[in-house]
Amino acid sequence: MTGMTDHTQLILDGTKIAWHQDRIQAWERGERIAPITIDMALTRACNYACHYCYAMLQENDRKSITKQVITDFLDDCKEIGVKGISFVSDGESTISPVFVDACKHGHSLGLSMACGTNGFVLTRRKLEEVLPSLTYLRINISAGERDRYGEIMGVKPDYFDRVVQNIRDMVAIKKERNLSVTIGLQMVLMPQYRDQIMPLARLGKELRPDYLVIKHCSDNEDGDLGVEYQKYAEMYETLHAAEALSDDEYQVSVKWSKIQATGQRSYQRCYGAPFMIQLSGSGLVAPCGMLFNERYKKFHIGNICETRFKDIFASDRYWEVMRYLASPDFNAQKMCGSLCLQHKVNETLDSYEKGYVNLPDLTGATPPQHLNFV
Amino acid sequence: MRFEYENLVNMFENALLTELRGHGSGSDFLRTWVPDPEPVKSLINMADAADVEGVESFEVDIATAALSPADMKELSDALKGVFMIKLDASKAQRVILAFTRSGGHTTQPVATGAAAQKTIAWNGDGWTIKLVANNGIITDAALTWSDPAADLALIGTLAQSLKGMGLREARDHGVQYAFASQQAAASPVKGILIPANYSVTSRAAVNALRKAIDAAEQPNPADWNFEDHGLSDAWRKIPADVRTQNLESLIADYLKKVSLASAIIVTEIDEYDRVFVQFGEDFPVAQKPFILMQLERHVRNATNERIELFVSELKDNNRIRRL
Repeated sequence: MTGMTDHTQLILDGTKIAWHQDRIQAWERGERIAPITIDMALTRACNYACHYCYAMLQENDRKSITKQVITDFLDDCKEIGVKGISFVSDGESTISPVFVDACKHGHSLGLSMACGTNGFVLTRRKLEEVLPSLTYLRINISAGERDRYGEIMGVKPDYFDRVVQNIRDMVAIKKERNLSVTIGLQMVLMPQYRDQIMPLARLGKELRPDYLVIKHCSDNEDGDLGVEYQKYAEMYETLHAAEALSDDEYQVSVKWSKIQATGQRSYQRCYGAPFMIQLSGSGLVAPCGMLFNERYKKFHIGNICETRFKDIFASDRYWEVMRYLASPDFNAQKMCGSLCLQHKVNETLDSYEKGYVNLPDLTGATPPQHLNFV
Repeated sequence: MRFEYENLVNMFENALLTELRGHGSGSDFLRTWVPDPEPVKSLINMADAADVEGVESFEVDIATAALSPADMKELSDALKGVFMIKLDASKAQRVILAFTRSGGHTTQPVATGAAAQKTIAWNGDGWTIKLVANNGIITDAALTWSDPAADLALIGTLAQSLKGMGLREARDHGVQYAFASQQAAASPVKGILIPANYSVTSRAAVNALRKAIDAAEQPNPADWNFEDHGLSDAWRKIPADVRTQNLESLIADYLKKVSLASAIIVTEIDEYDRVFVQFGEDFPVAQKPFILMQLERHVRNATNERIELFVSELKDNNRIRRL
């Protein structure tokens, strides 16, 4: 892959699970499959205070992910067959002292590594060290204007200037060194941030990352963040206008499928978790980030700060939890928050299991980018 | 008999302009019906007209957007003791309201409207399947499979499980419910159980059942299946303090069974009927997740209710995050 990204193959609103048919078939045979992708954080802490932050709802018993813990974890991932690790989840991984080493070690093992971050501490020196190890680096930025950035993301307005400079630097480093890393911006859109859609889309056009993705805001099953899903429809025109700013090297995409779902799910079983699990920045292993809070203790499987991940994966407890989610004991329409990370994978697997769709014949087809992040 | 509401109203209103005498909706049982601009009142008027004519059951096909949940409650309340209403929302953007005369109101035996009842008879792949559905809900099910490998117990359980399910739910999840209810301690596979891998019979059954139902009523995957088998009304109606006592008694049984000191109490049953428990301070931390799931299973088996157990939410104490 060259340094320039082929945008036609960048899937920002969908799933790549159909490209992993060997694992789907193993799942169908009832085998214990390793996750293709693990989404995790290296800490629960964050240097921001975004108003839409779902991590506020995910508090659990905190432990520290040390260099030894993350090294063992990555080694275990490689051994059992995990393909991609994204540092996103419920904390700001770049403020963990082990962040750079973790990215480099995972990459050296042949794992695809990625990160979602506010980008504040990723100054030029750190970027030069970490960018070659990453498949993608995504900056969470939910405003395109200085003051609104400060309001929405819970920081002083001058944080905006630092982040904008860091984005300029990462784009420049990518070009200078012809790196394959995809650099993206992500806006978590609450209806009350609609005034920032166009300023951010224009800012992106000026900064020249590979893409800007605009997504819904998730909420828990009690609606604690107060996301008014019906109000997204009022923003469709503006969202289309933002998408129209796309050009050959800058893609603006709206996650329409999730926004238009108005927080609802077509399926009742969660089949996606064994393909794609989440770890909290506390080291907690759970099927899904929405189940991190202590409230959902019955879904908590183990902690990599205490037990090697390969042993957690091999345990009956791991599979007891996964089976619960795939059984009539569970109904994702009633028991989950809105639009989780596994949502698109769940949609595909559920439709496939029910016989509504077949797996596509991909013989000879060109795989999309970021294949190991399903 | 089934009426499409909007057509009926249009016919009625057109007839106001085109007919000088003999105006009506075109149906005898609606002779006294006059539509109202508000659909809910219009439907109440229709039920009154049906009542006057002694009609036992009828169905109305109406746009989903025409009736809010509050309207549905108003409709049910207004017709209490006269008609029971069942709702079928399996069609996109449409809802079928099935009105059936309430027991006790009439001295005549309650007859099921012919149009409301549907029988699916299907033969294929060695299977013979017969499903009887009333207003889309399966009331009787019989399945046989001629294969020598047939697991008769699973097929029998499946026939029982299907009763009370909608046809869509039966095709989507019927076999899952069947093997979940007969599942032995040892699982046939190490990974995730689905009909395709539970057994030869489950795999054949899910294929046959889907073919049988799809042949009679092709499902549209774009119409989402929201049928849920959650807590029963009977459970919800039990006063919270009595439910709490019952649950604590079941918890004590379980803890005794696994030789643990009684150290879990029910702290709350919330507005969504979720049950929150609290562990005693000396309860082994590492055992909590496993015990909680086993305890929930014990409670569900004992009550036959899909009760969910949780522990209290942990708030985020990070200084700069807030909610």
